[in-house]
Amino acid sequence: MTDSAAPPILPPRQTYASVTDQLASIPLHFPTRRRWLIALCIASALFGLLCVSAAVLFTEGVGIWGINIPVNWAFAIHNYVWWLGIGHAGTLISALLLLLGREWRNSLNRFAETMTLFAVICAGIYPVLHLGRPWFLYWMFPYPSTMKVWPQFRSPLEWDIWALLTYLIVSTVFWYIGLIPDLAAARDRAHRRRWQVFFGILSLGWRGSALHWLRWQQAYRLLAALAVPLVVSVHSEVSLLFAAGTIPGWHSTVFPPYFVLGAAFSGFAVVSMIAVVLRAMFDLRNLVTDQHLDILGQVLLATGLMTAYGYVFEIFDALYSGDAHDIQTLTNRFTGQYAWSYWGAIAFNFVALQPLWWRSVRRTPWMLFAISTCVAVGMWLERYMILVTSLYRDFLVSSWGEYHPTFWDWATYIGTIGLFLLPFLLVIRLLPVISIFETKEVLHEEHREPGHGK
Amino acid sequence: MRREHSSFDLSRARAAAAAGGKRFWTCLEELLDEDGFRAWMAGEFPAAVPLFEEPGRRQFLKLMGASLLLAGLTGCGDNRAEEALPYVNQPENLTPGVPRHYATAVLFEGYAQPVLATTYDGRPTKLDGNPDHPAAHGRSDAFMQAAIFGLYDPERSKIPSRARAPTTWEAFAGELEKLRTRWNERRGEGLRLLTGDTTSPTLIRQIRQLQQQLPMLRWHRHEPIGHANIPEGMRLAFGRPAMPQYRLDLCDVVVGIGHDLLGPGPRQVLHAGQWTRRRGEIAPGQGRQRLHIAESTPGLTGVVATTRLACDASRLPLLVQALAASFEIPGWPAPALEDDERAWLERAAGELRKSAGKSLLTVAPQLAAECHAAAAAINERLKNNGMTVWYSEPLHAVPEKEETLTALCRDMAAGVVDTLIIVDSNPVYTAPAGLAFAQGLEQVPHRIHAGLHFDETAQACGWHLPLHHALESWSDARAADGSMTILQPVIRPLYASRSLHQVFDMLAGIHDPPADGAVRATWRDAFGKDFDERWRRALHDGFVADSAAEPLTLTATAAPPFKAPEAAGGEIDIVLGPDPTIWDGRFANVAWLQELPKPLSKATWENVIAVSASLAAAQGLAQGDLAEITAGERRVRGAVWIMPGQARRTASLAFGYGRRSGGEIAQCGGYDAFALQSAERQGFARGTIRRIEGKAVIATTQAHHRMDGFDFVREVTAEDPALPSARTAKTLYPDWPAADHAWGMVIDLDRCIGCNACVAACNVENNVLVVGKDEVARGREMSWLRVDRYYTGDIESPRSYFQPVPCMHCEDAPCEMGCPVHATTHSPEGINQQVYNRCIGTRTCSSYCPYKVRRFNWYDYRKRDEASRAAKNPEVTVRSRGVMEKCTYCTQRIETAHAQADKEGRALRRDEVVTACQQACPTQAIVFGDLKDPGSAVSAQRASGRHYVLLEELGTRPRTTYLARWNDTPGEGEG
Repeated sequence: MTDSAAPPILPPRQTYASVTDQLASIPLHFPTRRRWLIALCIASALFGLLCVSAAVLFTEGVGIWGINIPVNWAFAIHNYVWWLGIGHAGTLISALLLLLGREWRNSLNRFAETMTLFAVICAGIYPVLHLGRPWFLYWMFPYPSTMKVWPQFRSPLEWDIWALLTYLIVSTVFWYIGLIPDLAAARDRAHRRRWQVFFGILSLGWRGSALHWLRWQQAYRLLAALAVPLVVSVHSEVSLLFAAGTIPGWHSTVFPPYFVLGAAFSGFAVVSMIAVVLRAMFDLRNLVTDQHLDILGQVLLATGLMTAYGYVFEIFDALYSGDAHDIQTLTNRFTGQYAWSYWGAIAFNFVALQPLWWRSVRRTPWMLFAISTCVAVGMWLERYMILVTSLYRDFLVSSWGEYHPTFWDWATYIGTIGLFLLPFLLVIRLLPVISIFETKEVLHEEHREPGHGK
Repeated sequence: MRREHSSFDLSRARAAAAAGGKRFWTCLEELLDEDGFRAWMAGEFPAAVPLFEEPGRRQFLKLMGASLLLAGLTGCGDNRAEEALPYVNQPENLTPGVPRHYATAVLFEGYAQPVLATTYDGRPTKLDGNPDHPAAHGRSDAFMQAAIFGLYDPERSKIPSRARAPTTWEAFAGELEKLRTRWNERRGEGLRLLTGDTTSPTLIRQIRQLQQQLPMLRWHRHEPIGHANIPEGMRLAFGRPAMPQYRLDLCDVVVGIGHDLLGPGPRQVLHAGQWTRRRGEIAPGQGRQRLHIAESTPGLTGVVATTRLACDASRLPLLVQALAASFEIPGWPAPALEDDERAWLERAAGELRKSAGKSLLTVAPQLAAECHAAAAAINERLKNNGMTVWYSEPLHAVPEKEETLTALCRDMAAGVVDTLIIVDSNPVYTAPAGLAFAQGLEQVPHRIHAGLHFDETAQACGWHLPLHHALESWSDARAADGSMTILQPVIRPLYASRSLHQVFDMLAGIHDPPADGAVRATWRDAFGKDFDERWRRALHDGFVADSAAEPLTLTATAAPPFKAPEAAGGEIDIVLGPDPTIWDGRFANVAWLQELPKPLSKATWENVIAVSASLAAAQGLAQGDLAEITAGERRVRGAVWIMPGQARRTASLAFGYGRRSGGEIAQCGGYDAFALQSAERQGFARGTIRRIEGKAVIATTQAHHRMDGFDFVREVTAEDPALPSARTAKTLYPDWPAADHAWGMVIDLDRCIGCNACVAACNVENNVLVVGKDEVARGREMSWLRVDRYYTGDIESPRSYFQPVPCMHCEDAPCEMGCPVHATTHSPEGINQQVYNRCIGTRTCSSYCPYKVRRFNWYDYRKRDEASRAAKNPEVTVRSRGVMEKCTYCTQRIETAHAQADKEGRALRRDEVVTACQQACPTQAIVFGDLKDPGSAVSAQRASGRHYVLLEELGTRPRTTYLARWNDTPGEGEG
């Protein structure tokens, strides 16, 4: 993506100190209090909506949603997949690009990881909410019960809970370890006692000694090496939630790669959105440069096209198999009651993507933001399509049904956006949103040998 | 502790006793309240000390409160409380928790439906057909299954009332005393009695006796659906009333004109059993029974017929006329027929002739009496009389001309009716609108209603008396074949109700009649000197031996000349018929019958207006549109249902809905089709239909009905009688460890008539909950067993199919693989089990299930269905919110059989376990048993060439499999 002829990704006229000052001062001397407060209010309101929805859900039962037989999975599962997919981009940016030595990621990885963390939390509440009897969630875990009953390890749901928890733990630890040097930097620049103690405790006594850096490098890279395969395994596993069932439209071997690519696609879209917003909000054009947006646009285009390949292959698969039920499901997707979700997904994911072939579009923040939003919506429609269009008409014509989301379906979903935004806003308020030391690393590389990235 | 004695002071003691008033004292020290005594008390009986302390205000209030509460308790209930004591001497053969079975009957249009009631500790929980009964053979229908919910209906009338105010039976007896004096003076003039059809010898005897006392008393009969034209037709044919009795099992050819022989009604079980015997006996191409049906509204018989003609209701008499003409019945000229009608008729007539002596012609009960006479004459010519049809005395008391509802309405309007006693009938709702019964009733000074519900008629009457449910009362009745059943109570009356016979005893002047007095009196005469023995025998067996109706020797030679009326152009035919699940509204307050899908439309909780596709297209009507039907002055509004196979210019309406009173559930919706009923012609009207503003959500359990080129229901023909044998799918999974038995089920689609008996039986047996119309509309019905209905071919004359779908109990079950917590597992005997208390409700099993037979408790449906609480089967867990449930092959019955076999130290007998659906099925379409036993019925079925597996290509290896339907339609099948 970057070649030797490419210009340095960060403007060269910056010193280490200026970068540190600029980034560490964001939490210490928060610049846009008003806008942040408004955003926080909205996020809190949405979060409140989630709490109300959950309370109603737990008192009444999952009947408050529009699900039924045959569509007994809908919003809860499809939003779970969507959120988890978004989360994957953070890990990919941080871990995969770290291991590949792509330093341009250093400007993006912090908030991408933060996004991952909260997206995974949003995803993580769904498997609990969606249960008929959520208070027995712990039966999914292999604890020594007196009845000697174990979970059923053949079930994709069982793998799911492990995948999710592993992913949550690894992303949290990875995020936190990556944060330590910056926490120390913030501690050193803090003037007020409260901030000093806060950052002091969090930075775990980091003094920046060579030994610290050595250990840190080892730990960070080790975790990165752990996290990268997780992205692939977790979302492959999520796809098995569907592929393991016999339902036409689900029962396909293309699902794991199709889901992983779709996840990366939607995740990069959300990273682009956040990058554009943060850059504007905190005036970080010198650190999140047009070049960064350009690269993000390219990645978005690439993952989008790979996802499109999945679509093509799904159609081919159904037609080539000649299976009447598969073809029926395909026809239903094209022309059935939920055809809007299929064509919506095509339009938002792939048609809206095409302007990214142009460099100027990729480098125009608002255009990148608009396209990314389209992709996030498109991927949401795609998950909806995969779930609902397969279930609403499966094998026996007699059991065909319909699904209509209710108020509570929407309330729960919109509420999770609050669950995502609220902690995210707190993090950008309290912690450096861009990795200070890693940005300086890039600067260092650039100063030493211009034309970095090789 | 030693007590300190001080000297005794008499005067002080006297003063203390006087001052203390009525205070109790046990010893002198206490009386004197000495400190020493207190100290001794505290040491010796520390717990008693507070008793001696001055009761404070709080203490007083507490004690008073408690004693008031306790005093209240003594007022609870009647003297039943004393019987709630545990048994001191355990009665023999009564073990708590072990069910007992009683043979009795429930009533349907006056006919006995013989049942075997299962009771747990005095509480009936399930009714099944009486296996020993000659008419039922252990089979049942949906109404019989649901009668248990009628018993426990919380909205049943509980107490007598006068002008809507609660009163007592004694008050009624007092009132009766006065009325009786007047009746006696006037010898019963102005006194009228109105009942439904009845076959009860006791009731008939009681009324006849009353008529002897009061000669001017007139007894009117009103049966809303009614078969009044049949005995009338027989009178025309034979000169005396009679009832034709069919022997479908002896027929090679049956031609039915508008007659839904296998459809719901008191004779469904009888006819279905006969039909099955013939259907199952002979292989196709070797003289299989051929069934030719012409009908205006698709019925169950039409679904299984060899040929079916969709014919407008007004043209059905023309078919009879044409048939009569072709058999040269004098006075019946040949009418002009349309091409398809003529083709059908010629084939039918030809086959009737060819199989003379082994053929049968039946016509719809609602057709004119002349048509019935013609049918009798044709059957006579075919020498079918005495073979496939014979005639008996009418089983019910046939009303004379002056004893009809029409005569009563005329007299009421004329003001000559002084007292009207309406027993177990709801004419204010069910009387034809043309008779203006309700207006007439207002002219009657004394109106007395006795019934199970405080319904429309009860509201219009001064007195209302609650009646026993059939399961609470002593009574008697005749089954469809004429055999007598003595009804015995299987539960003590739940409310302050009395039986029908007690009410009539009261009318006859007996003040406090015993519950079984009248019935015993009837049978004491009938049984003669060995009464005790025969009475006990009859109660035990559930019927009186050899009491079936006797054939009459009758010969019909001619029918009165008849010419079917020509239908006027422009208007459409309107057919009014009973609802297949709530009949004429008498079962309307049973939630389970409301939620039972109508066999063909699969609609629940309401009636629809069924129209043909071409009529809908002509009127611009779409499914669910609201439409108004106008017949003369009368009109109703309802939701449109486009019914495949409906006759082109006929709209079919169902009775039973649009209730204005009678219970919350009964008043759930729909339209009142009785409002269109004219006084002259039952079940038929002419009128128009037009679209009106609005659209209704019809809660159906099956929205799609085309097989779309799939082969869910397979067919075989005479040319190609065998399907390819089942493939053995290869699997990576090892076989399950095998036990001694491998349960399996085979459902014969050739026998299924879609009657819903299996579904109803399953619901009752397995405590399946009712969810209500909204939830059904959202696709959340709970029935474990559904009867799918499919169509192929042209929408105007489609081929229809029924397919019952319970859990398939797959060997390689997708659901078992999906559950994360082992809540659905495979039993060693091959049952796909659902462990309710382990289920956490991920619904993965249902998502993965290719047959979508699993049902989920989206809410706590127990709260919504409290009415059926007492009817719950204690052997089956009632499922709570958030758990999945589904067919278990009645695992409780399998386990009971195992336990019984273990107790007796033997192996399970062949075909010992019978599932609820199998037990109920009137056509024996469902066979369950051990696949490991090569001699079992289910193994034999599996070896049939018609055996196939639903969605075999998925490799789920189901334990429930199907037998394909025979297609013997000419031109398509065997020809």
